[in-house]
Amino acid sequence: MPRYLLEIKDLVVKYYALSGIVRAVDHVSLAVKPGEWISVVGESGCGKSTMAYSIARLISPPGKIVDGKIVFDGRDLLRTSPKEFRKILGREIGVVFQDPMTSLDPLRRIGDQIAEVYMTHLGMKKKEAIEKAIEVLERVGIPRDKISAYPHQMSGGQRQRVAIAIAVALRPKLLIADEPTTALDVIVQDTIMDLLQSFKKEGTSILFITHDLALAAERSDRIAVMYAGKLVEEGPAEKIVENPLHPYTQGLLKSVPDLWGPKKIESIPGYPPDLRSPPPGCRFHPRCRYAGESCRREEPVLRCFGEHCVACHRAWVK
Amino acid sequence: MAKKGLGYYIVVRALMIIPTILILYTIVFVLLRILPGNPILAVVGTRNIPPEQLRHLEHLAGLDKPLIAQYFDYLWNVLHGNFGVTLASPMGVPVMDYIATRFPATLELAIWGFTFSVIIGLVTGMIAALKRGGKIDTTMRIYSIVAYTLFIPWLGMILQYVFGVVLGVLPTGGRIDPRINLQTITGLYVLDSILTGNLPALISSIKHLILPSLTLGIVLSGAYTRLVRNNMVDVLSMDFIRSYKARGIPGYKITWYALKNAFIPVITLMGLQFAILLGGAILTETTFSWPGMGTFIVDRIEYRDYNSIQGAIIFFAFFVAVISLVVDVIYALLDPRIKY
Amino acid sequence: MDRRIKPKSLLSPLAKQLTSRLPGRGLLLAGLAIVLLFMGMAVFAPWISPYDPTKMVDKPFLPPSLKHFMGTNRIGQDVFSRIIWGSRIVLYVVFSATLLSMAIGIPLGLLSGYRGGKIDRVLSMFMDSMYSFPALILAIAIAAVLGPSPMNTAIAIAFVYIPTYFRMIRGQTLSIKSQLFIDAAHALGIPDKRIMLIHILPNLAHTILVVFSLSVADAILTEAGLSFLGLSVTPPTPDWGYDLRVGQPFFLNGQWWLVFFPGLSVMLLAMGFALIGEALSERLSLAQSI
Repeated sequence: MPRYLLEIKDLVVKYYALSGIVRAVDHVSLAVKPGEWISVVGESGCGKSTMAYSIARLISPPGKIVDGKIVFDGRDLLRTSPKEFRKILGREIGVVFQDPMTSLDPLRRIGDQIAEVYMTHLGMKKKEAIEKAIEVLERVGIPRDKISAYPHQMSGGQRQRVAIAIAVALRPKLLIADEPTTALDVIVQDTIMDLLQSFKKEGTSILFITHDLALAAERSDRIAVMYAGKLVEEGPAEKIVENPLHPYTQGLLKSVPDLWGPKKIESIPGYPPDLRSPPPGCRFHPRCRYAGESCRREEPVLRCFGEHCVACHRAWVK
Repeated sequence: MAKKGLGYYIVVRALMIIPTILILYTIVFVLLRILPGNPILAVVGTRNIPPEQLRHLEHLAGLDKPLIAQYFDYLWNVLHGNFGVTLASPMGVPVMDYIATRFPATLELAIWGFTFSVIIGLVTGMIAALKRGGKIDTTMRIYSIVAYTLFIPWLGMILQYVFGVVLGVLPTGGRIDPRINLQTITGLYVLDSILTGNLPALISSIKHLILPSLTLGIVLSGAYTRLVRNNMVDVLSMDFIRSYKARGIPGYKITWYALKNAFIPVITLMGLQFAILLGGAILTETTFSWPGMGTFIVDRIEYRDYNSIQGAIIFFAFFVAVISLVVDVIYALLDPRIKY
Repeated sequence: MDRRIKPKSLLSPLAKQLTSRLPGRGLLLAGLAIVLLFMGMAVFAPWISPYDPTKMVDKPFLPPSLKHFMGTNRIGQDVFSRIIWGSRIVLYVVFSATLLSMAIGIPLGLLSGYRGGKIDRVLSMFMDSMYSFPALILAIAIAAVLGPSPMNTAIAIAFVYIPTYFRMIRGQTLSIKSQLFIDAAHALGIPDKRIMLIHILPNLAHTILVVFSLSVADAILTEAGLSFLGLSVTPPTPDWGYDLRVGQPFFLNGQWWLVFFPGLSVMLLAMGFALIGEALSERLSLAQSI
């Protein structure tokens, strides 16, 4: 068994906008082990979703994957033929999107939409596929009589369960979940997280994209933090939470309210940079209180201390 | 919810066409009556006619009663299928007799023209959306404007000239070769030929239909091209299309699902387009000597037979109301989000 | 999320954007050029028309030549001169009709949308029914009763487009009415009439312009249709639709210029306005989405 299920190496994704070229993902590398839950955390526009969509090859113009390698289960995903790739996507890789209200086809019964995955990938007959659809629907906690319901007849939480059911229907090795709980209220959020975790326990690796570090910390094995298209810190979840090395990660943690401590909530001053012309040196330096001369000139590389990696000139100085 | 309410919905919607018809009837009635000009004098022109004959004509047209009585009398008659009588040669023939033979011709032309316009519009709109931003998209966009602004008789004549005169492959007028004997059942010649198993009649009536219905179809397709393209572009950028891709569903299937979603708003346009189509049919019929309602109205205008024109228009009002009912029901059947 | 860095303007790469932007601007320019050309023809007809359009000036059925750019018709009239003078009739009828329907449709729409209630329901019901009825057939009925004359044709066409303006103005008024600044005007005690005229109407200007262009394009085709059916003008007045009708039998005999030029003129003029409307509506929807 290979050490990694998924390896992203030096991925570069650019958006060719009218006003300039946006480097949405800039030389990011990340690896996911089999059965692992890894969360990618960052603010809006930091490139975390772009990175995730690159794996599923869902980047469309004006976006383009410019450089890098994505190796999944021994295959280079960016170099497989579209036909070959369609057999992987939906079968070995499942994707759940942010907004359950819009991610299902409003004109088709959910049963048909689930069954279609079985019919497409396993060549099942309709009847058999519907049986399987009922099975997976019950597995995600939706009663079987909803099989012939239309999406508009269900709540947001139920729809997200359906979306998850479709994504895991063929027991993929990797489940990419892009902010699957952001559009839902907090109580529903939790049940969806439980559901995802139950699939992890059955062996599915989960790549969880979120802006919510606290949410990520609860369930992840490892956490990767992205800022302005760069991976700035990565490591085991408890290390990231207890001993964050990057000032940005520290800032993120301080902006999370703590129920058990008299902690003051602080926000990070300033705004993420314009990715059409990012600042020289470390991209975080204009907002960083520890920034020194080297931060303004030189781009920090990712350095690892055991399993804990960080891209910061000052990570050990402070 | 689901489908069990559909019958109920159809009944309610059918009842709702009653006010629509009444309003249309009232508008037409008022417009035709308040406008200056005595319809009888319009028929006979400036000639002096004996007052007796004038009164006889006024009686025939129901014009000798007060306006209110005329309004209800005419409505009562219309509800009993009596659309008045002709006032010019041949005089005194029920307008309904004409409608009975002329309307199927218009309906047949309209159905074919409608079908052509929807097919052309769907295909061009879909291609434009799939190639959006490129040269093909621009071409289709220009096509939709050009098609919309084409003058029906002009396009009809050019098609007549090319296919009828230069190539000589298609007839330029009429509904069927007059030497062919076709027993009419519905009045729709293509259907009748199939029902009676009359192959020569089938071929001849289709040949006669192609040019006029293609003319109508091309002119009306422009609106569909535009709407289908814009809807399709919207739908293709929707999240559920991305979800389909992420499930590894083949591209042609995704295109099909996108088309289905893009088609829903098109149904609304169809009702309106059908009304425009009927207007266009009048010009098409005149261009192609098609013996339908349009040529009937134009004939009657030449005689200033105002009674027949009123009858024909009121009949159209009924027909338009029924079409809008049918469109609404189709819409409800296709879109599960509609609650009835 | 990452979607934020993909606003509308980013939808296609730089080069593509430049080329796809051009047609939008091109549409507007092309439309304006066509419309100005025909308006110039109409205004300067007496000076630029080479012949009297109503007189026999040469042998009949002469094909296009340097002497007669568009040939002569069956009674020896110069087709080119008839096209030039015909633009006068079309534009006169269409503009009168459109102004008339605006003069009725816009105030009614404003009132209906602003007041709401019973007036709104009754007016809307009438206008919707009229809107659903085939425009050309309605115009035919009215024109037939009124008798052929350019002004009567204009009245007939005007009826057809009243609901178009009514519906559009009513809808827009409804949405503007719900905005905050109208509430503010109310709170300041500004009378309704003033709110409608000063605060709502100016906000409708762009929409009215779009609907104006599109309805004029449509009205040109309706006018041509009416005159094709012999309901607009009486001979020998030069009129495109009528000339087309008269030319039909000769056209099929090969005298193509009798039909080709009048029909082309109808299409070009209608297209000119349609292009302007299309370009304007695109800008409008862009402005709204930003």
